[in-house]
Amino acid sequence: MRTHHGLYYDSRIKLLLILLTSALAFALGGGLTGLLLFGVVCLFSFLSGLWKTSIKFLTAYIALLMLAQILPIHLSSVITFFLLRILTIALALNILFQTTEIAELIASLQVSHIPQAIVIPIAIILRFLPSLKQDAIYIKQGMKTRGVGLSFWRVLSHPAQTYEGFLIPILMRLLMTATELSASAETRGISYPCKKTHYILVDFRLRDGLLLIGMLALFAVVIWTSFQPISLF
Amino acid sequence: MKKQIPIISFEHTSFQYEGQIQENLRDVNLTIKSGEFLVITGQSGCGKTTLTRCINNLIPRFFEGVLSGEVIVSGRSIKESDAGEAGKEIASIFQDPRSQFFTTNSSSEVAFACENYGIPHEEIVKRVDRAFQSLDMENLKDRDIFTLSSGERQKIAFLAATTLNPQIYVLDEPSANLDIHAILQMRKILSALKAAGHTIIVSEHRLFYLYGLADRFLIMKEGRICEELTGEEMAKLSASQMRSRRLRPLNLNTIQIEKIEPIGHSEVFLQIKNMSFSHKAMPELLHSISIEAHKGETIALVGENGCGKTTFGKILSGLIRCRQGGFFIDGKNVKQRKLSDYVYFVMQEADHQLYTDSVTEELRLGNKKIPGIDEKVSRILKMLHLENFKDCHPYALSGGQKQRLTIGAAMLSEKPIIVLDEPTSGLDWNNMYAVANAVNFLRKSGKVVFIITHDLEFISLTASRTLLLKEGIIKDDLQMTGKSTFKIVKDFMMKGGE
Repeated sequence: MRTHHGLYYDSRIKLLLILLTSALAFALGGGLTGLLLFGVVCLFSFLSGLWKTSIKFLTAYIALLMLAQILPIHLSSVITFFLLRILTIALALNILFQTTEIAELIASLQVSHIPQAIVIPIAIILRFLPSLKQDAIYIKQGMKTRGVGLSFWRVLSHPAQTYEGFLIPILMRLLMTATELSASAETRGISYPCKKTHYILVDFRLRDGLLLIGMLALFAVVIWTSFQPISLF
Repeated sequence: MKKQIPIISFEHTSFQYEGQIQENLRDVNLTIKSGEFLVITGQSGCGKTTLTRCINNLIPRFFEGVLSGEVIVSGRSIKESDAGEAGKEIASIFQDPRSQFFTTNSSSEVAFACENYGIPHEEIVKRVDRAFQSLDMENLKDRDIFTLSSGERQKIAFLAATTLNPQIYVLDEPSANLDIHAILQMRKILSALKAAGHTIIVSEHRLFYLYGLADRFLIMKEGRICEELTGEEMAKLSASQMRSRRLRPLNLNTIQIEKIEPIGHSEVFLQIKNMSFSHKAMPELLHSISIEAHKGETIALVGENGCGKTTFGKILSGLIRCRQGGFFIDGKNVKQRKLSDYVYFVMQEADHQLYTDSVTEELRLGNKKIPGIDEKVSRILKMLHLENFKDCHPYALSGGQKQRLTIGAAMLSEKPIIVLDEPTSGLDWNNMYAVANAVNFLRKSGKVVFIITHDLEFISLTASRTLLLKEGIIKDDLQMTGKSTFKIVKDFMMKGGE
């Protein structure tokens, strides 16, 4: 059941958006180009109906950008070279995670003849994140009740201990979930050698085509600006 | 005479997992007939899960190890097959943890196996529709898996299994995370599958829902089948005969309540006033709850999966903030962010609460300033039968041992209030009994203990008082003084509070 009310479009476009964004965010310069790149991603986020998330990201981006103007150079460069770019990629990932059902993504990738060896890992990553997030919350609560919570001062005074205390349970849970999930998928024929069929039919419609062309055009503009001698501030 | 055909046979089967020092199955001989309903039970680590993994062919390809002897399922040796090949004939259903679901939508999940075996689209749509209709669960169609309760998720697992109409169903502790009402609903599904002639194999600790359903029970010990009883023979065993076999009861009516008297602190120690809670953009989960509690009480909190028991416990422990509510401990008003100084929360999954590299260190963590800590640690290790494992890594322990260790940490904590979230889910009788003893120790040492649980036997051994939670309010608050109150609790749990 879809809980968001945005434009519905092919999940392959979302994947392409992630690929292009992550490649360009670090390959191209920051400044105006970075801002435009973020703008493109943000536009798609709004189109997908993720109003709240988009506004949150937009606010964070602008706040960081302003902060970078007043902070000394070594701090502001962390923001412009790292944080802003990560934020852009995170927003692109977020579109896929929040608006795509796993079955739909698997179907669309299989239809495009992407090998199973690539489809399955992508599906699993998408499947894992919600459980990972849940585990992280529980572990944080568990540490708090043990009196070794992840408070600011504690992390600062016992970094190794808190790191170990948090990471080991997360990894153990991850291993366990991975084993159970794959055992369950095996018994239901995930690696059975035959042509896979689909419950949800995906087809690349005219709307998807137009959206794709629009997206590529916007990316072309972003790339073009990076070769122009325009500076933002 | 379909019933006479053997569909599964084990011949001198032994199996040892890779990297393990002991065999998990030892010289097992077993024949299962077509249409039979078989239950495998026994203590944790007895080999019952391993047996189910042989039947669904996860052994020997997925779980690797040394397999000797022979296992034939539907005419094929498991040495020449794999889980994917066998999956057309054999459906596997596991414990509820969300990890048995591959997709995030209930309809897609039900369709998943069909897609993998290449059934045409139109046929998949038909089968998915039929599955939801046949078990009268159309309200579960096209839902986000993460918003379903454990009981509903387990139903989806059954629906997903039925779409291929397999001959054999293999279930590994399917009831572990369900409330009694949901388990009884699962029983109905099993009953229908049995009536349709399917062969069903269940590995399980909790036996009550299999009463009158199972044709045969196998009791396993240390990798061997040590006793074999028909359903009728099993039903005739007395409560003490079940206990001497270390088995959970087959009939809930045989559970007798122990006399659990509160320790007689008369003054109110904990007071909660008008606690309300709702998740973001969701209807109210807890509605203006007020209770008072005394030292030396063990208060059981019961209600269906998803009714807000855990949320209640976490708010009380200061792990989640609630919108409104007052908390008074020992006469003092305590702010929500200070609650975690007074209340200790034992998580349901022990894995979420073990942070160090040895059992001893685990108990010392956060408690190093307590005077005489080393003696206390060794006393608790002894009490919980963990002294032989004191230098082990916590993650090398078995499930029951891990659970006891997290409770040990709670016993050492100096916080006066302890909340335990489903401390016996998935535990065998021995471990359940050990946990019950630990909880009784906490009560006797003058703490206020809350247990969130679906385990009637555990309640009978520990609770001095029970709160029945339904639709966000406390429907009833009962002192567990005798048979009549215990029956009210039992009926409430079986009917899901209707």
